[in-house]
Amino acid sequence: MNEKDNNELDALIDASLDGRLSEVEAERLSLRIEESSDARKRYWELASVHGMIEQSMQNALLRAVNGEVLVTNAKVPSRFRWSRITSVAAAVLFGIFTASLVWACAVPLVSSTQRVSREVVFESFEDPEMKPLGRFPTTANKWFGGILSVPGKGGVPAVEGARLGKFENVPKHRFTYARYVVDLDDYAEPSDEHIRSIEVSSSFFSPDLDPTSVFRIDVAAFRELPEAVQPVWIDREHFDDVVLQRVGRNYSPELSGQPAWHEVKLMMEIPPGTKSVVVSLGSGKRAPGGAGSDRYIDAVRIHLVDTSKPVE
Amino acid sequence: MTNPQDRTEAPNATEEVQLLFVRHENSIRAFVRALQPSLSDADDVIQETFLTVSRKASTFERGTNFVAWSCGIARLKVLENLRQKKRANVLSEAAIIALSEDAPPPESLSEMQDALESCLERLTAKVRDLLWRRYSRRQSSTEMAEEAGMTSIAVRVALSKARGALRDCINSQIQSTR
Repeated sequence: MNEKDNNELDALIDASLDGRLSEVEAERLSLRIEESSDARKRYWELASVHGMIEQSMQNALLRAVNGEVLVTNAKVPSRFRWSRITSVAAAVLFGIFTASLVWACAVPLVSSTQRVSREVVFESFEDPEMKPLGRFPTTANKWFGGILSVPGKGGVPAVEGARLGKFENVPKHRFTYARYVVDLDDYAEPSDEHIRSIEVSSSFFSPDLDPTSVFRIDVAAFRELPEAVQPVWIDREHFDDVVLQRVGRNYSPELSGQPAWHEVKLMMEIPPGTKSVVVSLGSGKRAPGGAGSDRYIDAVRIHLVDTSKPVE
Repeated sequence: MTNPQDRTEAPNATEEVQLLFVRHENSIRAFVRALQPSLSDADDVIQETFLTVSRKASTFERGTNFVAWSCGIARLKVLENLRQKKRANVLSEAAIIALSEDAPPPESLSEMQDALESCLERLTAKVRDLLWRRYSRRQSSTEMAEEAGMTSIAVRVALSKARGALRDCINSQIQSTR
């Protein structure tokens, strides 16, 4: 291809990527792509740049929406980021993943400060009477699952307060869970200009970690009231059709050094129409008998976070 | 959570591919965005792809290329979307099929992403501002032109040049590391 051809092709590709191709241009570009491997290569080069710039900019925006400081013309270390879900199709999981690209922007961000966070649950398992209830919540605002309150001690100090939660040892299971349902009817709905998300953080501890050890947080949104979520939850065949949104994160703790608390966080956008959000905190191993060891949990925080919708 | 009945608490095949999807979402999204310039259509396609990948989890062979497998599904979803929307001003099915067969391998996208980071820093503040408005705030050329004090044609030209410059910079960086 000569330079003129290349320029024309680039212009067509640009128009395509910007969504402003005319019908005639679409036909012309399609034909060139069908017929020429050079054209396809050139298309991919530009289209890849297009997609990557978008991801880079979105990463920066997400960091801003999450209240992180943007630094002018400086690199920000890669780290975990949250994925904003732009629509609410059922059963879609776009959780946390490592950002391969984070770019700091010098441009002022309209929405960077418009973030209201409200703590709706803080649990440090201080109630000595706390006993494991059923596996799955049948009502809101109570902990269910295999969890009990134990005093913190030398080898396993509490993160907050004097006591901590201990996962039940169930050798026949790989994981045990503590679960909680947040009743969204208890809170005023966000305005039309805001997106509501749920943020969960929890500290986990296990004195006998191995490469199969996993701590995990799952969050799922349902249109059902808290009392009606259990049957939906156990109906595995239809679960994916009913759940509005869910996000899960496995955390594999590093094995180096002394046993320590590991803080795990997760965030999920709450789709409109959600009545209940299930928070599930699990610990175990990807191996038989994983739930047969000592595992602890403490300092569980659940926040509802309202952020301004990005400017369209 | 993918095991509501708690019969066995281990991650199952569905959960494993979902985690793989999350891990490789950047690559899958880049593939879809290249074939589906409309952002809302691309989001639909990615979500449909996720659902199908989850449904077909048992057919994924461990140890094979997950991104290639997912992109194969994504390609079909792009074509489905194209047929549903019946738009005339988009690439033809034959073009999309040809493109997807020549898609760059995920490793090369990763290499490009690494290069992009430093290439972005070489742009002028004004050009970065335009890119920010276009890709993050999703402003139209007209909106950008109004706020940046330019004509919309000048905005389009500047964006086109910026993408071209980034492509050349990325290619140059990749060549120099080989």
